Amino acid sequence: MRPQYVVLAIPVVALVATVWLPFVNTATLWIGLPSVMVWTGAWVLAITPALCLFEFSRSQREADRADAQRTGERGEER
Amino acid sequence: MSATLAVTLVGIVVIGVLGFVGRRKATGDLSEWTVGGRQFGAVTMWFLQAGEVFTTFTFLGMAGLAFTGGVAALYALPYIPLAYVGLYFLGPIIWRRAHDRGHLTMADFLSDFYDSRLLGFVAAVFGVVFLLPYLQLQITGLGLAVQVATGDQTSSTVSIIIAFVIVVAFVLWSGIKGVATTSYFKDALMLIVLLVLVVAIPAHFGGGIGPTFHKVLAEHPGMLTVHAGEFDRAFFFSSMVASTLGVLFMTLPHQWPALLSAGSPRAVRRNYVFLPVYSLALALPMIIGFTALIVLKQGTDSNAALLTLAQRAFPDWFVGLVVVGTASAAMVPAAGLIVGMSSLIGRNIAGRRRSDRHQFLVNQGSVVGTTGLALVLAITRPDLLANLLLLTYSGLDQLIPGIALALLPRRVVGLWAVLAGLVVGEIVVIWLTFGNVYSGHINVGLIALVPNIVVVAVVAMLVRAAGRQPSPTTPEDKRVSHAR
Repeated sequence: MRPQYVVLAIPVVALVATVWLPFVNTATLWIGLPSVMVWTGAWVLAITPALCLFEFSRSQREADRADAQRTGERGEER
Repeated sequence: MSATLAVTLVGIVVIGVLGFVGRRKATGDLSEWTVGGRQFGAVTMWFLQAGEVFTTFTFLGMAGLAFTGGVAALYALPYIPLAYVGLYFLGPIIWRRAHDRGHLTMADFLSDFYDSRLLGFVAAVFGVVFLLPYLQLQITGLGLAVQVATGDQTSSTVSIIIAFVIVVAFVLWSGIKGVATTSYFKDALMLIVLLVLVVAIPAHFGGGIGPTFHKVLAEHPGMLTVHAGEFDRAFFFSSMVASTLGVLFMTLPHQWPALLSAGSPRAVRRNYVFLPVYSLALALPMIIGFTALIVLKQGTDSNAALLTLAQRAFPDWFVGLVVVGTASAAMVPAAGLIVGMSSLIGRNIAGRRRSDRHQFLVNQGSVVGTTGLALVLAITRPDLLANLLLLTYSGLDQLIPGIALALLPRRVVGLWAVLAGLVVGEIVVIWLTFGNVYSGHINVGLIALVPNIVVVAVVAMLVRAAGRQPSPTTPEDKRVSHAR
């Protein structure tokens, strides 16, 4: 499995597991906010850099080139 | 006229003006009107889809849910970003096929893949019926905001009539482009208003955000955990999963114009990369809801919690700005809903087999008809559609198997299996919601997906056993034949 998928899976698993993690789902405050709020907020934020790994990888640039080529060919056909 | 009402009315008119600015001259082309000629870049897409995240439910309802359910309200924070993770991969697939085949709606996509106008018609009918109460919710949300802020029912009624006549007018003129231009204003205003509220309200009532949560911890520790009761782990987990799946598989019809208006798959992907950051803003009204826990009495109308605190802490003119924020959270998503619903009626229900010109005219008529119906019901029979709202998400979730299978490159399951599963899923949702047979907290839409999928599998196997396999036509094959 490509490392980008593993990195992306981490916030997904962390968010889905939120209520089943006893150290998160407890009446306590982290940095002055409810632990559930900090946990979900932090992992939601982590999704953007994880997706950036995909977006700025070579394969996506290649897909963009293929799309541009395909659109261009269709334009020529017309 | 109070300062609050004056600011509110001026704000509503400004939103309308921005909606008209979206298009310089009128168009008679449904594609141009619905998906803006498929030319939007990543930034416009971002505002358009971000605009769908923040509705009156988010603005008023999230604060209210935090007030009644504590951190259980946080199920609403991760589900949209989780769906975006999947849509980063699925969105470009949908966009490419819709672009190649000229789809404008969810029903176009389904009817084309399964080669069945009937399925498109059924999906469109479910889409319109389940979204109508959601449109009414935006109207009643705006009415509630004006009523709480001004204390006057007449001002509330007049405001929602003015607001939604303006929405109809700019949607008729500008279509999706009007939704986009108003989204810029709406998102900027809502963020500014929310940031002021989230700093000032806890500071005013609890000495700051930190001290407020320490008071909540001391007085209502149960509100800081997802615990037993109505908002338990089953509620949190199943609501999050059901909502994620619904957004991921684009079951909400108004998601389609926003996605299909993108100029390229790259714009689609970039949008989903950066949208999760914006979703964090959903936590802001929840913080205000927690502040309400230490200020308001239990039993206070939860949906009015945010505005009640704002009214006690701010001068009238600023309360007016908060109401304008609420109005924008009602009017802009409502405009998106109207575009989604009217295009379904124009393309897939009333305008089937008709010319493009006829479809456009039906579409414009249904903009007025659906909004008028929702407005009249919101004013005269506000509870009539309330029960139907319970079905909105669960009912639309039953489209998941059909849409998911249509994302495959080849048709592996035929029309009748998907249609049978959809009908069974809807029946189970209605039975569990209104039949007094289920009192658990697992999301009804998620439960109904089980028989839905089982029926799809069983009917597909029966069809295969009868030797009538679905034609493995692919969108690629169709594109080739279309080109010929």
